[in-house]
Amino acid sequence: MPVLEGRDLVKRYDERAALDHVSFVVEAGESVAIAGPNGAGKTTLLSMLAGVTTPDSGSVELPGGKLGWVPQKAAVYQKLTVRENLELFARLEKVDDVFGSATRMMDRIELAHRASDRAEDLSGGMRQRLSIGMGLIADPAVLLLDEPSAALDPLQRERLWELLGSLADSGIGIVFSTHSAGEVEGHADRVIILDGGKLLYDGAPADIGPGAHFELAFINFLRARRAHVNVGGDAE
Amino acid sequence: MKRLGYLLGKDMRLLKRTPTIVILLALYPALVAVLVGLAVGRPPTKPRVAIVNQVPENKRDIRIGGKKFDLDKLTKALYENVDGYNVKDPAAALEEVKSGDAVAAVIIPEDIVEQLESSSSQGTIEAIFDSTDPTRKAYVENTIKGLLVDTNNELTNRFTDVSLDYINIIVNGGEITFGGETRNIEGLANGADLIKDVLPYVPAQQRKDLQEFAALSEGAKQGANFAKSLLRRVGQPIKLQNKPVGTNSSLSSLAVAVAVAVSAMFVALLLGAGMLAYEQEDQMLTRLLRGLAPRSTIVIEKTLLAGICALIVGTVMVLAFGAFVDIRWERAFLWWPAIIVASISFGAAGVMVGAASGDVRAASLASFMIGLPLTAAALVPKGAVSDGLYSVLQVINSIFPFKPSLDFLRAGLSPGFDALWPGIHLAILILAYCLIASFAIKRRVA
Ligand SMILES: Nc1ncnc2c1ncn2[C@@H]1O[C@H](COP(=O)(O)OP(=O)(O)OP(=O)(O)O)[C@@H](O)[C@H]1O
Ligand SMILES: [Mg+2]
Repeated sequence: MPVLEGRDLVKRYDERAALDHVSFVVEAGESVAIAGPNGAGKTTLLSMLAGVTTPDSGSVELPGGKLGWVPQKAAVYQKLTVRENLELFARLEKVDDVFGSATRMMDRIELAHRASDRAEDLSGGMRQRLSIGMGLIADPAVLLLDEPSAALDPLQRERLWELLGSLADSGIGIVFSTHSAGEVEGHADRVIILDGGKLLYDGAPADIGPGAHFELAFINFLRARRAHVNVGGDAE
Repeated sequence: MKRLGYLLGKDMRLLKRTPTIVILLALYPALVAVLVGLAVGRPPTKPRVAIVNQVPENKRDIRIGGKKFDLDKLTKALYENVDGYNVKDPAAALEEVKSGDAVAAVIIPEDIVEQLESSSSQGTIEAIFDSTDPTRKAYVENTIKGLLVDTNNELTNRFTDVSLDYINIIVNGGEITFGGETRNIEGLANGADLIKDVLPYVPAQQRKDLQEFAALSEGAKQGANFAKSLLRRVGQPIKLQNKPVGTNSSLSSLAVAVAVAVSAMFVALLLGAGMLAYEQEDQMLTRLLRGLAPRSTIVIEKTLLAGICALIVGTVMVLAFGAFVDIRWERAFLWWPAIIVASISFGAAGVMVGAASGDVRAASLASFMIGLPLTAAALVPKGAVSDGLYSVLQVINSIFPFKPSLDFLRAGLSPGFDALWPGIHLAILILAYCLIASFAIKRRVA
């Protein structure tokens, strides 16, 4: 059952296409990675799917229900406590049981013991989990995360993937952007590869092509495509 | 509406948890208020002058030409123009000046009464002051000179009165006291009549001399009358008649308006810009704009937040100023709305600045860089710069809310100013700023 559909999405900044007719579907419980070099259009795509940016043309459908959004940086109010952050977004999302859902969410993101600590006093990993909790507070059918693991140490990263894995297991569609080949290989059911705003690949990471492991295969893939199609090099 | 409330509550909490910013925002206007208050609000206090009156209590009557004057009445001006107080002798007076308790001391000598009564000498009083500091010396000298101007005027008036009395007696006749002896004198007018009466009985060759004398008396009488009016003019050579033109507004109401406008401006500008930029900093804006709070809600919420804080500061400032200058409390129905509208307009301007700048630092810097020169531009008086430059300044002043806010506040604080147009002007600016801010946010996340 699809939870997110992007159809023919286009975004231009001064004639330069940041996103060039991109379409894809995310199923419930599926974990989709968005990969591609710097300036490929990953953030543009995610924020468009999230409804932060409006597409120049194309449409976004949410057949499964609400969407949760976790921006690139840990987007939390540093001066508010863990509970206050969650409760504020529960209110803004018009959740019925504000206190209860904040409490349940703190259990889920394993921050119940830091409920009354300010976000600024948390570790980077904890803050990222809080940020995810704020994106999850309205029980979305699909969760979008922009480079969720970028600032985390390996242990915190592992903990993050445990959380995201359990979310996918519970039927939530997960879409995340990443620069880590290991994460695509280890945690994504599917990978979407963007370059210069164009969708170059949409399929299982293992099927991308020749290479001893995903990272090499990914590089080979990009080189081959850039030789064929003149994408104009690094779009930045 | 509810979401606006949640965001407002959240921001109030954020501010409460950033005490340094709150303290700075409270201190800054207080500092401005004190500076403005010192600069234009309160008139300088009267200088303290120690006065030694060596004339015994029972000898303070001056007699000039048979008229009695009270010395105390003459020296009254001395006490009124300065903060005058009595000390017992010159040594004590010197001590007062040396210790700095008094800026100067004035000694009225025992023989001042005789000096004034004698027709040949001028009265002399002695002044003591510290001449170490040249600027202070000039100030004290001016103060003392100013003192004597009033006393001298008073004396001149009285001497003139006495002279007039004498002339009157010479012309019309009357009693005159001279050397302790009182005599009755026939005036020139009577003298001329008397001569005319006796003229027929005088031998012919002397009649001509007498006729000449009678003519002389007539001339003297006319001369005396002329001398009267001349003397009146000498008594008060130039009479100052105050004729104020234009709106009657006190300096203090301008001072209060400037102080309130400046502090409300900085509080609202900094808060509006800073708090909006803060939402962008951690990408919170992208979270909120995802249907949780539309741009309009965010812009209005931040404008209100900044406006409310500035309103509190502005109101407290007017109340505090009330302790020093006259505030027209009965006009609160006008000046309080003026503070509200001004605060909101500054808030909206701040939000616009914040929306255009990416982070809090850029936003605060931009607030100062915009706020300071535009405040200065609004305070440039007409005629201080060339007409062309003034027109440019007027255009600048009309797109920034400081000048209209100042006008609105003045209209609230003192009568005679138009409140309607500044109010409408500000409302237009608020709307424009909010629209621009909303547009800038759209550009930023697009
Ligand atoms: N607001 C904007 N104005 C102009 N150009 C923009 C804007 N946002 C993105 N772009 C451009 O669109 C293109 C895609 O940017 P985007 O941020 O989506 O890339 P990305 O894949 O997320 O890169 P990274 O891996 O570095 O995060 C880039 O060329 C970028 O310069
Ligand atoms: Mg990105």
